[in-house]
Amino acid sequence: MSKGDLMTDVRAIEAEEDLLIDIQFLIEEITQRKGVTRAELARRTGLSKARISQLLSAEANPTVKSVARVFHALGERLHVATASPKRVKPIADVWDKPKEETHAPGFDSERLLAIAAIRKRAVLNDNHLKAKSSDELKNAA
Amino acid sequence: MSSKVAVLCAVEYRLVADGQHASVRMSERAWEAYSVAIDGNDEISVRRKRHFRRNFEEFCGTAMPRLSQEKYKKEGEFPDGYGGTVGVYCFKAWQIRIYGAVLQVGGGKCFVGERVDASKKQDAADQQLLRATALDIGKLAEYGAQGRRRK
Repeated sequence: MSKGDLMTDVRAIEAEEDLLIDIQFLIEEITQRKGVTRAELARRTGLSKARISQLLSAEANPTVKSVARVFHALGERLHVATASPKRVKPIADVWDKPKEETHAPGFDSERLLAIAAIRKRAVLNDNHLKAKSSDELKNAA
Repeated sequence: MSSKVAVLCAVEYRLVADGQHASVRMSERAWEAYSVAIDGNDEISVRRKRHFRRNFEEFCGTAMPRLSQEKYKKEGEFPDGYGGTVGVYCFKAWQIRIYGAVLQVGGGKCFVGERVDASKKQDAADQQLLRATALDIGKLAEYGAQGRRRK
């Protein structure tokens, strides 16, 4: 394995552990804040105390569903979001903004719409003319 | 003939982690054993290292660390060799346990790691190591400064 491959693997492993640790810290924070004992958490989740302990240990590899079950038992819902700073804006954000914030300076959307309408009329008119001449040709024949 | 007694100071131990609320230090013996446990390129070592690092950061960085008993636990009170007892605590991850005590070191709260159990046992903590940890802690100047020694 090349040094580059090894570093990639290390980063991937660290990412796995970081997510697990974040979840475990959050569970501990909520149980402390709400005063939920281990026995009570086991009762609410339907999991054994040993299983809860296993879930909170470093060697844990919980399923997404078991994590959701624990948070549900704590009266919480876990939201998932990335930590990446590059967030794709949904289209609604763009449409809700004033024109000045969505277009480059000098751009006139109303003018473009007007041009589009003219072109559309021209196409329709052209089609009409073509249809008319076709009829005339037929009549001539 | 006067005999000189070496004074052990936790402040001279290796600083492993430092934060706003606490720090983590280890004796050279503990550090060497810990380094062996985390410095490998194998998957387990990488996972282990990440857990310990994050756990230390949590311990040092917040007044109320979110460390469950699976990560950080008080193992009990053990004789300090001077008539008193030491509360021995343990950081653990991936079958490695770091035993020590929480003292005031350099003016701040500090987990002082003295012994490492790398035997990779799944079951209860090693009682012999816990007792040895307490005796190590009892010899520290910072421990004595807290007035914990009874003789």
